[in-house]
Amino acid sequence: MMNWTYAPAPESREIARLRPSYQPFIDGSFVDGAGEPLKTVNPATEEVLAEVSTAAPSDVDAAVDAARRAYDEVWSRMPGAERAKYLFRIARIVQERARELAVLESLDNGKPIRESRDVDIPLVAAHFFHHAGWADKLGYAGYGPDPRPLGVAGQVIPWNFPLLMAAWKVAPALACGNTVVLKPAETTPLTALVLAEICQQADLPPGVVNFIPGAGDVGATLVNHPGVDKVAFTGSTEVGKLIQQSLAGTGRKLTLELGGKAANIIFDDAPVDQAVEGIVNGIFFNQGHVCCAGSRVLVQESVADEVLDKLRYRVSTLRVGDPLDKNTDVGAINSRQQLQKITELVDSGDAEGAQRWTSPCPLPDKGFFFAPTVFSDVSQAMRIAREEIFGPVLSVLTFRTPAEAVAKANNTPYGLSAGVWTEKGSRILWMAQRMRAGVVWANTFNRFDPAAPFGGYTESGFGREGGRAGLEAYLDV
Amino acid sequence: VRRASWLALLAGAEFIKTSTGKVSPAATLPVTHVMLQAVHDWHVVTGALRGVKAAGGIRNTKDAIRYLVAVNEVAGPQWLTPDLFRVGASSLLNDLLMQRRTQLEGHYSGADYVTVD
Repeated sequence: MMNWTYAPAPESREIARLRPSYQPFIDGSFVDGAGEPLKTVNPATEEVLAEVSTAAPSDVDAAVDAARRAYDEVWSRMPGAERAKYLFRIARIVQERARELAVLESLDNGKPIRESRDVDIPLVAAHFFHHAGWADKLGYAGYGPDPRPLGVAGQVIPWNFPLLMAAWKVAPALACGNTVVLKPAETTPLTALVLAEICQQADLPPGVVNFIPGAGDVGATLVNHPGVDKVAFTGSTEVGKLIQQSLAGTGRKLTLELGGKAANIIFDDAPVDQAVEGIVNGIFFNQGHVCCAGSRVLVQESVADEVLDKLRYRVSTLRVGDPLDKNTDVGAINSRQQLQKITELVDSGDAEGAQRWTSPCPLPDKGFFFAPTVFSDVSQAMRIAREEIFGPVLSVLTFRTPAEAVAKANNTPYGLSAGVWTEKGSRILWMAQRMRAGVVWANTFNRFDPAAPFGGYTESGFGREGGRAGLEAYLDV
Repeated sequence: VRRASWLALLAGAEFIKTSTGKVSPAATLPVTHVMLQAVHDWHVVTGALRGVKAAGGIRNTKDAIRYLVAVNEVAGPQWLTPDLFRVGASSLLNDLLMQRRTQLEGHYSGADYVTVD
């Protein structure tokens, strides 16, 4: 019997053109912020990548003022067809610099290069292309003949898809004629600042887009800023609630895209091999750092053993390691803090009596890594079935009837996404009607398209991103 | 393909083959992937090892390496023996000879330097 070992196939980090320091982007130029500079760390090696100058409240004021000026004097008056040209240009430059962005994203975030190269960056370009197309057709979107923009949008995004979330926020806002002040996440500010460079390259008028890196306090200053007309936030439910509280009564428009605890439901007539691939994609994609991750698998009792055996075998073949290696399936956990949270929740699963299985894969010696973990014999009452883990940890529950599957799937304060695996089309539709989830994937999972609206029910937030429905969030309707 | 593979294995096949190789398209990587899954599952269920033969369409060395990686990843390293995985593609041999010669001599020689029969 031959035993193959694969040589490492790392992407060169030179491609990222990493600079020792990065600055906030305000009013069309890069300026030093007055905040305490932060050091962004490569989670796979724990080494410092770059120093990033952060924004202080005075910089937030400057950014919002710049955005207001750009809105009043340039952007809101510009015809949609002209705005579209800028967005098309940004999309094309993103495609041209795709490799650089992919490597930088993997360095800063820890996600495998396979995902940043094949998923994140192509989707970023797709979002700009999609919304560029909308810019001159807003009158046909179903919000009246000439819908008006809202003004200055304050946007705060998470660290799990740093550049993609920036694109989800910036592209529709600009297409609708708003100007933007965006705060990237504290641990992953680099690609957003390269996007700023791309905006410069595309000759975007100064002030239309401003990026102000910093920690949570910068975000709080931004969303509470009186000069902001619209707030969009993607992140944790906890912070989302705080933002909603502080904006209540101000009349400012708000959209929230928060946590999730999606149910991925496997019926006994599903093609098992495909379903197993879907489960793996659902929870181990991006190390499980996905708000819509299929973190609860509900499998019909009659096939539960078969699915679990195949799932464990499949998960044991996942390679965990250097995010820049083209063969890596699961990369690094984004931060030590997140790793601690995952460990704490996994321990609670042990304590509450769930059966834990951990992939025997080797882990690198340094960096923040967590081996893919599958819990079986999980009940709805356990913390691992109720709380969002945001890591490569899957909880497997069983059900007998479709009605029980719906009841268990909906028994959560969240409602962002769900998956159904079955051969029967009628059953897919029956399930989709009954599940309280913004997205229901049928025989697939974690598939994104700029034309498909994305968003949640209840504690997963409100408002939609993408597609025609996503435009509503940035129009005065 | 998956079901046909499974039926063939149930009927007692020692190995399963993509096709005669004389039709087009013959072996493709996705189809071979599914057949490899079938023999893997057969091994899990019965403990018996069954072979796969990918015939036609594998013309050069690089393709062959892709197939071997699929065998290693999908079925398992046990299948990396001539008894359990074979490639039926006569033109592959010539490409392999050319590639070997390139490695030895440091430059490409060309198709005319290998015999066609």
